[in-house]
Amino acid sequence: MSSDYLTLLFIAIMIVLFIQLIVNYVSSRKQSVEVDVPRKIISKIRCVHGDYETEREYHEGDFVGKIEGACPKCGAELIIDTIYTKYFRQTTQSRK
Amino acid sequence: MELSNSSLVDKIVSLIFLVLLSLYFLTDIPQRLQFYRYSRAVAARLSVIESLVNEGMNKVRNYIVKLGVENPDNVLKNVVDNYFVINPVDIEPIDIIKRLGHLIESNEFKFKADLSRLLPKVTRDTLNNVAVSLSIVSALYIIYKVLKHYYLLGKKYENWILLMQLSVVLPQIVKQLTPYVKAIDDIIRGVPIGDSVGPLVAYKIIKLAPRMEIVEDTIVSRVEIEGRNVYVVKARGPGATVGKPGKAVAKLVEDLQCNVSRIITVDAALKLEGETTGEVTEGTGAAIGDPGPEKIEIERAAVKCNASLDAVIIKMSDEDAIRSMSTEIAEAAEKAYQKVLEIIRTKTRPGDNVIVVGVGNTVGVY
Repeated sequence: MSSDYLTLLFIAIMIVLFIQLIVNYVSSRKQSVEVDVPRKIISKIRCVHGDYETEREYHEGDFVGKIEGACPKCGAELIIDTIYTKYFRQTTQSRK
Repeated sequence: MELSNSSLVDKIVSLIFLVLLSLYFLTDIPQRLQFYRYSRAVAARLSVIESLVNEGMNKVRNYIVKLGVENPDNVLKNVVDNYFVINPVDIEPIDIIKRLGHLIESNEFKFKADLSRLLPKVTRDTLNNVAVSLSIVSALYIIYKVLKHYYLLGKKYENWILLMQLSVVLPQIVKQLTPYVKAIDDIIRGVPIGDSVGPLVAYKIIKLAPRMEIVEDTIVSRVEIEGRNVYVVKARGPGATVGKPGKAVAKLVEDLQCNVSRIITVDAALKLEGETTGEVTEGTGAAIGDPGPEKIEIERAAVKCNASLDAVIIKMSDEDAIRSMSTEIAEAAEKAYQKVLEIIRTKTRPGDNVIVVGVGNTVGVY
């Protein structure tokens, strides 16, 4: 009788190990990872006298220091002051 | 009957265990299985890296086709596998920095001269963008070739430990290489990257003040801040280049006859895991991450003139440094600018000559 229990125990252990093997394999194939995806590139424009500031989407050919016309308040030069990218975090399923 | 059945199952299970244990301990089947498993894992990762290299090459190919190159594959083939630098002899350390600097400079000169010949009609800024994009692709290709070499060696000599090491390290390498491919787009478009934070701080000080090219691809501009003469050195923008800030500082110090009270370097620095991106800190020394020749020029200039050497660093990960500048780093540039102004106001006196060096790639920053 005790031999029967021992056999059952062995079989149970084998089943558990087999299931674990399958689970490990599947989880190693797919894993969710968090990645930063660029949403928008922004050009921040500022008046040289500092009395006006605006932001717009980046245009091809923009660079920090580029003159972007005249200030609507004082008429001085408007210059691209900073160019930065807004990222948002996205969870994706990918291979490990 | 029941007892005999259970006895049979018992015997079969025991036999299976015995066979499995014999196979495990008395044969090399486990090693063969591991070899096969690691070999497959490494091959899969290598194909990912190969696709990254191809993606990078396609981006650069499309870009140079747009610039009017008729045979882009010839350019790529010529560049990605050439322009290596052999390290100078190090068992004789005398003048090793000069020799290393000379080799790096010669290689850069040759690379840019060849590119100018292939792309004669483009501007200098565009040529710098092409040069940096090609350098990225070339670096990716060399990494791929080295990894493939070890993979094939492992297979050739059935060295499963070598393959195991590769399979452990490759996921990390893939994650580190992916941003470099994405960075090619930003370099081509001329968008500032995280590493541009040093030149951005320099720009914030000089704005559109007149610039003078003091050495190749490096400018100096003089502005006055509360009675101090501030000489700002940065790479010549808005093309992608890091310039030669060390040589520029050496030349500037010579021009000023060593009348310099302080040299402040501003650069992006690699953060430790757990540190915050965009943290601005101040220290002592030359904040510049070159192989040596540029950094030593700044240190020698500071020692020669007995000038204090300050370092203002903006912390970021290697991914942040190579991808287009994030909001946190753009905000940190403003903080670093204020920190530089504070150093000038509190640690120098009116009439002093101060040198500020904005170190980094000036892509997208004039």
